Amino acid sequence: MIKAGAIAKGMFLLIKNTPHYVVDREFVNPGKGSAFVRLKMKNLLRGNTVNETIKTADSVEEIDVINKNAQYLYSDAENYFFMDSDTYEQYHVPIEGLEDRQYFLKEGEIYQVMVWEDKPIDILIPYKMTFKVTEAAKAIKGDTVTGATKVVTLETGLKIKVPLFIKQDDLVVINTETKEYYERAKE
Amino acid sequence: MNYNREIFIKRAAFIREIRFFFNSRNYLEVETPVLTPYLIPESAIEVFRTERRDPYGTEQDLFLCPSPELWMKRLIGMGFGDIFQISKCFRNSESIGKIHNPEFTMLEWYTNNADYVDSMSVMEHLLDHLKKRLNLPGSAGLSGALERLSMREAFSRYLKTDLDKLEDKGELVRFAGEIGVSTDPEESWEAIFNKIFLTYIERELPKDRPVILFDYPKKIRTLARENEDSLYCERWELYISGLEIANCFTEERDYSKIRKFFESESVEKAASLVPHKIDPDFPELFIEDYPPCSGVALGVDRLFMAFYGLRSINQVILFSFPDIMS
Repeated sequence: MIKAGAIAKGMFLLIKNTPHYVVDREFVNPGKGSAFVRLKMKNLLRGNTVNETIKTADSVEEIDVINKNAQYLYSDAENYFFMDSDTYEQYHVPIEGLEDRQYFLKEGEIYQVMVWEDKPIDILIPYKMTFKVTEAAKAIKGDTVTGATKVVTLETGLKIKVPLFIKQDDLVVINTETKEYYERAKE
Repeated sequence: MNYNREIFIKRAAFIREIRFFFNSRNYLEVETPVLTPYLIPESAIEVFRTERRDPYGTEQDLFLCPSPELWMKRLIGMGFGDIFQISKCFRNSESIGKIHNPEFTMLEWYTNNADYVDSMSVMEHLLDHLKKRLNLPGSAGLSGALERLSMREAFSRYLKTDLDKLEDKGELVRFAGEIGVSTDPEESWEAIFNKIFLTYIERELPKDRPVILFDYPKKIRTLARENEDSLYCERWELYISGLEIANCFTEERDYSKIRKFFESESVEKAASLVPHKIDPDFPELFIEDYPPCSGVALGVDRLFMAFYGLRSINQVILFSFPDIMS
């Protein structure tokens, strides 16, 4: 247990029996009031962001969360299946709460899986990733408006807006956080 | 350490204009002790303790003032009239960061025959004066017209609830549960209120204009006068860009209430990290006629930050604590 006043950004805490990641923390002393710490955290089981305010003198439980390298194998209706890169052990990560990850998982690729008490709870997606365009309509001739875009489908099923010059089978780099096109990948 | 001299030229002008403003309104500038043998008990504030060594006598505990209130209120009682002071104040155990430095500059002013509404006008005039004289449009946080918002209105606006109905602790706990604020049976009404306020109200306050948030619940004990017809105290705080800048009371003058405040705060103060001696004579100031007055304490470093859109207190204080300790 640690005092809430010692909470730092990037820590993992167990709040209401649920692991949370501290995204931001700010100390506040409301006028004529005792000290509080205002936390912005990510609920690691459900993926949502929560705001919580705790007295700095209160105790909270800090937990150990580790990241393990693992190769993505496949998914079924309920789970993503991975193979640990060190032990070659196979395990699954429940899709619930991580539905979004399907758009960034490529079979055979190595990812970092976040593990808490032997339980995989999250899959870390690199900030930028390259994907193949599997479906793209041909640009309409004469459509030369600067900044014009069209929607294409990537190999993982994600649909994104891209500039008109992108063709089917092109490789594109996307920002996985915003799900936006970043650039055409150099082959 | 690398300081932007331009910022400190502006800071010097800023403080000159604050002095000019109060001087031109006939407030007397005063200087009161920073080093003091006793203080007003405020359970939420931790102080710095030091000692005086007498080569031939006994050591004497002394404390650095967290605000000049106890001395300035004595001057009001002595008939000094309207007074102001710009002084260094000290607070211990606050986290060091972008908005706190253990040693900071406070502007405190008292107006006789005035209440907290009169002080709102002075505050508004001071902001206008600084904008005009420093030829500043002000940063984004000062661009709009000042808004006066009561705490009850704020609860209704941001939480769609009637703060009056949360006066009972059971109701407050139930409401906290509804909006996902966890509570502990040991927690006071005030602590739960603060959690709700800090999570859902303070961060939502408008950032494009200064806000005077007024009428704080009576359950938050202070030396602000209680309004007899409502559940609130005559108190306000000024927020600019979401940052708390100033705190104002219609000062309580009722001897028995002040006595009671001292007694209850002294009990809580005993559990603080740095206990201090309690001012033994302060409540007695109010036995006989004490002038009706209103006082405002304002963080000068923070107001300066707000005017120039600066993000960290370390940019506006020369040799700030992190700088001298690194």
